[in-house]
This record gives sequence, C-alpha cells and structure tokens, in this order.
Amino acid sequence: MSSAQDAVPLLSVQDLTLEFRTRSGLVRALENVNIEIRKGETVGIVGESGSGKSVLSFAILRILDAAARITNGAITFGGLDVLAASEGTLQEVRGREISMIFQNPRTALNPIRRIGLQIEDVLRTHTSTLRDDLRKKVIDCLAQVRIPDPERRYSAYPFELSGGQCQRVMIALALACNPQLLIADEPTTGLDVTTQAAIMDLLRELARAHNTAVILITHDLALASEYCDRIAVMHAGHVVETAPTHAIFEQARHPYTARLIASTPKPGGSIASLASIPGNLPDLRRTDLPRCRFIERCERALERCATDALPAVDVSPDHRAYCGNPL
Amino acid sequence: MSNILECSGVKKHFPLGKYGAGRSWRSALKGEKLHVPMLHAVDDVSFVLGEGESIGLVGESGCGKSTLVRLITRMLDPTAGDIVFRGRNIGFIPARKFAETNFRSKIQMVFQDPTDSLNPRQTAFDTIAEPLKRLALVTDRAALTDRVADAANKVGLPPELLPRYPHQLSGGQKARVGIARAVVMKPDLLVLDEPTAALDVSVQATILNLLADLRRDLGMSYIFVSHDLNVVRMLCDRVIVMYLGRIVEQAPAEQMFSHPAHPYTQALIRAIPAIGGRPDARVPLAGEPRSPIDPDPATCRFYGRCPSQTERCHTELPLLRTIASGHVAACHFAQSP
Repeated sequence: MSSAQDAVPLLSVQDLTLEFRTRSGLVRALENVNIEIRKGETVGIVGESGSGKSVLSFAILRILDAAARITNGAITFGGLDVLAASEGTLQEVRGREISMIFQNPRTALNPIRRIGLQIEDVLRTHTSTLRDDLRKKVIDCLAQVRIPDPERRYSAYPFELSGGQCQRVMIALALACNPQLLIADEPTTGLDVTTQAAIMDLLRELARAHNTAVILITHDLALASEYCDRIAVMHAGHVVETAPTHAIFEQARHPYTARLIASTPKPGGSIASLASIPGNLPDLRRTDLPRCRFIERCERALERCATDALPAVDVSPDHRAYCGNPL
Repeated sequence: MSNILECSGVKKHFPLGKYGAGRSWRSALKGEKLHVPMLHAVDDVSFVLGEGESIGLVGESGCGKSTLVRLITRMLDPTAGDIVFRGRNIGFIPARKFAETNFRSKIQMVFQDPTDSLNPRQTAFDTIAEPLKRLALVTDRAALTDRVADAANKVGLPPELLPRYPHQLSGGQKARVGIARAVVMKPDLLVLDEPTAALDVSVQATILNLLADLRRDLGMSYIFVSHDLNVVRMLCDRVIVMYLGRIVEQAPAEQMFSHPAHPYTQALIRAIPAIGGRPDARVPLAGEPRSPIDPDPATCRFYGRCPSQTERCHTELPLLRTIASGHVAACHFAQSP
C-alpha cells in the first residue's frame, strides 16, 4: 500500500474548476476538484445526479460540450498535461490509454454496425494489428467478456443482444487496447441485480488481470462499497470527501457523506430508519453561491461556512474531508 | 381479511407477427395452416391480494412483471384466466372499455419514470385534475381546485408548485405529482411500477416514507413492482418472485429474505450489493434466461441457469407447492425452512 502511495499517481486532477456558459447564466459545474487515481486501483465517484460526476469524467477525456470552459486547474495523466495537449495527441490517448464505458450501452453502440466491426474499428485505429488477424483478435475480445458463441455474435447487431450482452460488448470495446485507465459511467444502471453482479465481477476481474485503474461513477453507495478501493463523494460540483472505502463507511466526516449512507436502504432496515436528505442541490447558476454548497441542507452549518474557504480536514493520510464543521 | 384482488390462471401470450415471424401474407397464402410462435409473457399466474395488503413483485426485466400489472390495471387483455376485483371478474371487460367502468377509478397506477409519464404541456394542477374531470366528472372549478389541493397536500406537494410544468419540477416533485394523480380518485388498489427507480437515494427515502404513510392513511392495497429488493423488503408484507412469466416463489417478506427456497430467489437476494459486502462471497448466475417464445411446457423455466438442476427439471415442470405457512415455491428441491 505504502509503495503505491509514494508512486506518482496515474491521473491527477488538481483544483479543477469548470463552467458552462448557457443562455440562462453561468453554470458553475465543478469547483476546485481534486482527485488522484493510482495505477491499478478502483476509485468510486458517488453523488446525486447533477453533482458533476459525469462532467468530471468528460473533462478527464476532454470531450466537453463547446459551452464548457475550464477556468482553473490541471489534469495530468501519466505525465501528459491533458488540458494543454493537442487534439491529435488526445485522440491517441482516448481509447488506447483512457477508455470509457457509457451509461446506456444501447445508445453508446452504433445501432447499424455489426458489433464485431465496431471493435475492429478500435483495433484498427489504435493498434498495429494486421488486417488478417483483426477478426481473430475481435473474437478473443468477445470471448474475454464471456459472450457465448463469439464467432456468431461477431456479426450481430446491438438490437439482437440483451442489455447485459450489450454492456459486455461495451466492456470488450473499452478494454480492447488494454488501457491504463477505464472510466465506467454508471455501467450497470438499468440492468437487473443479477446481471449487475455478473457485469461488475467481470469488470473487476479484467481490470485486475490487466492492472487497469478504474473510475467507477455510480449513485449506488452499496455497489461502490463492494468494488472500490477508494471512494470520492461529490456534491454540487465539489468533491466533499475522499477516503478508503472502509473509512468512508466507518467514519464519514462530511455530513453529506453520512446522510448519503443513512439514506441507502440496507438489508433488514426498516422504512422509518431510512433517512432522507432535505432540500435539493443548489442551483449552480446562482451568483451568490455560498462557499459550501451543502450549507442549505446541512444541520451542522456554521456562519463561517458561507463565506470562508472550505478547510481540508485530513483525517488520515488518505482520508480528507472538505468541511467547516466536520463530524 | 377479505381479498380485494384474486388472480387465477392469468395468461398473456403475444403472437409474433400476424402470419408467423418473418412471413408475409403472401407466404401465408401459399402455405397451409402455420404455427404462429407465441411469446409467453405471463403464464398461469395466480395470487390473491388482501384488503390493505401490500405485495412486492420482483424479477428480472423481461420476466413479465410489467405485463402482469398491465393486465391487472386492465390496460391489456389477458389471453386466459380470471382477474377478480372485489368479487367481480374484470378480466372479461375489454381493455378499451375499461376506462368507462367504475373500476377505473378504483384501480390506479403510478408509472415508472416520473419525467416520461407526465404530459410536458400540462401543469401539475392539470395533471392531477385530469382524472377528476374524466372519471369523477367534476366540472365545478372550486370543487376541482379543492380536491387537487387536497391530493397535493396528501403527497406533500407545496401548493405554489401546482401551476408549474414538469420541466420546472425536480425529480422528487414530479414523482409526487405522479402519485397525487393516482391517489386523487381515492383508489382501493394502487399499482406502483418501480416508482423510485429514477430517483436519487436522497429523494427515494422521502418518497418511500410517503408511500408507507399513504397506505396507512388511505387504507389502499399496493402492488409494488421493483427490482430493488431492499426497498421491497421495507414496504411490502408479501413478496412474489417471477421468472420468465411464472411465479417461482411467494412468501411473507421477512420469510422470503431469511429463507429463500427457490434457487433463483436465492441468487437474486445474494446479488444485492450491500455496504461492507464482499462480492467474492457470491456465485453469480451464469448465462441468460431461456427464450420466452414457445417455451417447452415440460421444462423448468430456470433450467440451464440453475446451479442445482437435475434431469427431472428438464422433463417435469415444477409447480408451486407449499413449503411453509404462506410460503410457496416452484422447485422440485425446495426445502421447508
């Protein structure tokens, strides 16, 4: 563990601030986001919808909407300054070094192209596989994600496959070039629990085998707890707490993290014991956003939380909360 | 406790194509009688729902749970079987005529996605008022306003939100509008099709609490469709597990979770992620479900994925049998707990 900590992180996001310019005003989507991913580890990013999880992952790949502006911060991936890199360099990186699994596999796959050809496209762009070997390599990829009868499935269209099968194809597509970092954006939302378990087990097994680092974006804390080494909790464009998985659940310091854990249904829990989080995410277009964006939903808020910069509370070397009045 | 709903032998088979899959009327003309493949969406489902009781319906997507609730809410016509609501067989009333009967206001439904199930061009007020205008024939503006305000109050929707359109409401508020629309007619049976699937956990808790309170206050019976088993466990008295159109197990909620008897239920419960859980400890279900098109009537539907299958499962379809009080399972090897 300690040797991994000393090493240079694979991906480091520092003080990232990102805004969207829209007709109804400036949306402050991310503010001073700090996150580090080390080689081979799985990091969960959890939070409500609208908290900036997906925007952060798009920023890492720099596939942002034209209205987005990164006003501050740095993203470094294996020595490469992602924000300064040329589009050509980034195209080399995307798909080969960093790849992504999108939320809905049915919309992420090309509906009118056979799945085998879609994987071939990736191999042809990013690797030097010989033309004659392509088909065999694709069938290997499909077999690796345990698609039954890969020779036949090679020429299937996405609509012929079930949701779980489509997600397996997405994983095959993402891992075809053995990337160093895989961003999985809600990979199992919309799948059944049994399929979810099978997909997550597969993802973890392949990531371990190739020493791929994984960013797992999810709103399911229980899922993150089972598959992640570390968890970062996001709320309204802030990372509010990062910690090793067990520390998040045993000693959450940020009130939002604690609330989120309490509102997750647990086996054997009663409905009365299920806490809810009052209020909604603040409107990120507001010009008078308080420094702590959780302040209006927080029962521990102090006066200074609205005006002072959020202090970083280091609980342990690997556990940090950004809160003016931590638990 | 009397029963509000009794389903017996309910079936829904969908024909695949008018002339058979992939055949045109030309080929149908040339050929003689041909076999039209049937998709067995719901097959021989029987259960009862007591007055004020809440039943959870769980299973994978494609197992027929949505078809079953659409049969019960009479938006689809069953192929066979009886749906008896309050002593009257409503299964015979054609779905298109059902809205004209008095039963429509007694059986109401909350749909899955609060965004997709609200008319974007109707305000929250219009949405909640719609069933009153159509089914209760309330035309008096003052009475309408009163009853809408009352329903909004019951679901905790602030009155100032009523003139808003769906895009001006948050996910939780839209869910409340959907629930208000369903309870405004004071139904006896409320069918909830994954009402919290599209919501964040922070909002889910309040909606679940609201549903529990509403049931207590209004004395409704619930059929609650979900694939979140932890939620079903909290909200329901009894749980029905479906697999490929058939009920495979039915038991009181606590019993189901502590002593699941059917191998599918066991796999389903083990697959729920838990905080602090270890995924290494479970054996995931291998493979995909069998085809629901013309299934072999003699083979267990779970055959091929079942970890404890034998030759007998291939040749003899297991029927539901009682293994404990109120606990039935469709497996040859289900043990009494």
